[in-house]
Amino acid sequence: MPPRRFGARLAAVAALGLVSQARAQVGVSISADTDERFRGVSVSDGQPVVSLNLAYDHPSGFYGGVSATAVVTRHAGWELQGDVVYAGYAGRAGGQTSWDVGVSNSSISVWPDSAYRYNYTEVYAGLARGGLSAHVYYSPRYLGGGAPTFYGELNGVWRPARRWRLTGHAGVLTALGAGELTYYGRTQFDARLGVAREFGRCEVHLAWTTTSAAPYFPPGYRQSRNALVLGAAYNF
Amino acid sequence: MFATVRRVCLGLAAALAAAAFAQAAPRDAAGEATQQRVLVMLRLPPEHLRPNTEYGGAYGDGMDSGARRRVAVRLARAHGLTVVDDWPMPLVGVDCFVLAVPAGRSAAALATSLSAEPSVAWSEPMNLYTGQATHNDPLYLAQPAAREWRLADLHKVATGRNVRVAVIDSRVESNHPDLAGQVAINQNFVADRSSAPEQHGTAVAGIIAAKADNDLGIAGVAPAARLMALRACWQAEASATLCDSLSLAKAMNFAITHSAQVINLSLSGPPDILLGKLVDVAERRRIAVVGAFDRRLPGGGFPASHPGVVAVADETRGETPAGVFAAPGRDVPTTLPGARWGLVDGASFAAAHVSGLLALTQEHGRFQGGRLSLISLRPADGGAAPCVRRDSAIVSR
Repeated sequence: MPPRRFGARLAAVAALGLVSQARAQVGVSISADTDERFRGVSVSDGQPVVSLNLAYDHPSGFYGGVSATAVVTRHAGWELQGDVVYAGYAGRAGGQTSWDVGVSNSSISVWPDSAYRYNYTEVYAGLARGGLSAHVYYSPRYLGGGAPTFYGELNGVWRPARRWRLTGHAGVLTALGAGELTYYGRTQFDARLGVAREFGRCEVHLAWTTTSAAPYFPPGYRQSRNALVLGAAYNF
Repeated sequence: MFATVRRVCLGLAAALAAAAFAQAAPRDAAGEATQQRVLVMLRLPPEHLRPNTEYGGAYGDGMDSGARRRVAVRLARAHGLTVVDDWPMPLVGVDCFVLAVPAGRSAAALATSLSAEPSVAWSEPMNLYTGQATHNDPLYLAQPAAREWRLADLHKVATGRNVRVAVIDSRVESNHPDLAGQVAINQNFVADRSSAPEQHGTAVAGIIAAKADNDLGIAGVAPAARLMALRACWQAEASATLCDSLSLAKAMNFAITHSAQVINLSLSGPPDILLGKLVDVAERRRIAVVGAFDRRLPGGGFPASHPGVVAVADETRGETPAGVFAAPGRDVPTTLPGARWGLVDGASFAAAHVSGLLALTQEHGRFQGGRLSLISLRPADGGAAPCVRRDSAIVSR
């Protein structure tokens, strides 16, 4: 993925954050994980990744952010793997319920051949209340594969004690038409259970993720249906 | 001039009069000065998705809380404060940060200026809330002074420690369970009478200085006072207590020469020259002399009618005349001979209340000159915080 394009997006979001520093909240974090599992699929070929995340929240409800990931490859050092840029708007629906809508654009490079670059856009909407949230996503060309897809997910978080976090996730992915990667023709499910422990500004998390069928994409990747992912993050 | 209805309503102000030492910082139960704190509320944005990160729920994820923490630290630095703690509260949509305020600065002023910051939803000083004080004496709640005078709250400020109160009365049962250790001096000025403990004196002594928080009986108005039980009266029959001029004069003389700070004379009778002169001597030595106001006698009887004597009447018996104070005098639980407790009525016991109150106010030193008078701020509704007034200068609220 061209570093220049990534850099431009990063700069745009960062600038926005700095300009509105007085009222907005800007978050920065860096994280490392043993595998990058996206909706149950490893997009790093089972290799560890490091991510830099920037998040921006404006009191009006507008929010945005950018996230960039590098793969720590087995034999070729660090490689920029992908990035996500997103923007959205969140509001309160009365009481403790909130809603949000947004759009995200993701780029993924398929290592080791960066010629395989997938870029796709998704729009999403969802509701959240207490520790539960539900979102639906639509992408006209999921993973660049030409097939419009729909993804729905349910997320939950529970904090049994201060500094501890238990998370759960269940998602369903459906291709809505034919396309290059229509091995996704059948509906796929993925689930994830995680536990995280905060240590001041750091946190360590462990998650178990599973999918209903061994994913085909990205081609050539060693995929397993289940995976245990260990990671850590630091919030600035 | 004085208000027409005198009501000795105990409140914190009476003790504050004696407490020239104003506490600079609020103190908790352990007496430790607590540092002032201010709370700063930063808005929690509505929950939303953040692609590529784990769902954090209403509390947000580490990035959100990190972002808010940075805002809080920046605000704290700008105002010379330090962030002590934070607690997100999604129910009210804020993340609450606790900032420590250095000594000498006003938490209220800081809260106002912090509230004006654009990123702050609001800011407020951290407030202390005190529980309602009480004593563990079982009869405490039945004492009129407990309710009307908020005795337990008063005792947080003063207990009449080491103030010498002379009870010139009939025999006090000084080994009564609720009085043991409270009587410093025991003298008998009535030669040819039985020296068994008597009702009136024991009752008066208990009202003034019964031990507090001993899980027994009542709590005296000045539980740390030192009683001088000067027996100058005797119990004539069941409910009549008599004293004569000579025994009273001997007792007064003793009290004055032995540095009493308050003299309680819960008795009334005809004006007496000898006793009048002794009262004058006491007043010149700035000893507070308290007398019971007898409504049946002109001027309330002697010593109540004598100039300078703090005359006290039973508050439940109607309007008290100008210059007379009213205090609880009906259904007052107190100590009785035979290690018992019972209810008593009368201006004698109202006077005892005021003697105890004066002992509280003298805990931190005698009044520096001037006549003592107690006036009420709000005579109509009762329970008003009184002030202790020297001549025409108001000493405290």
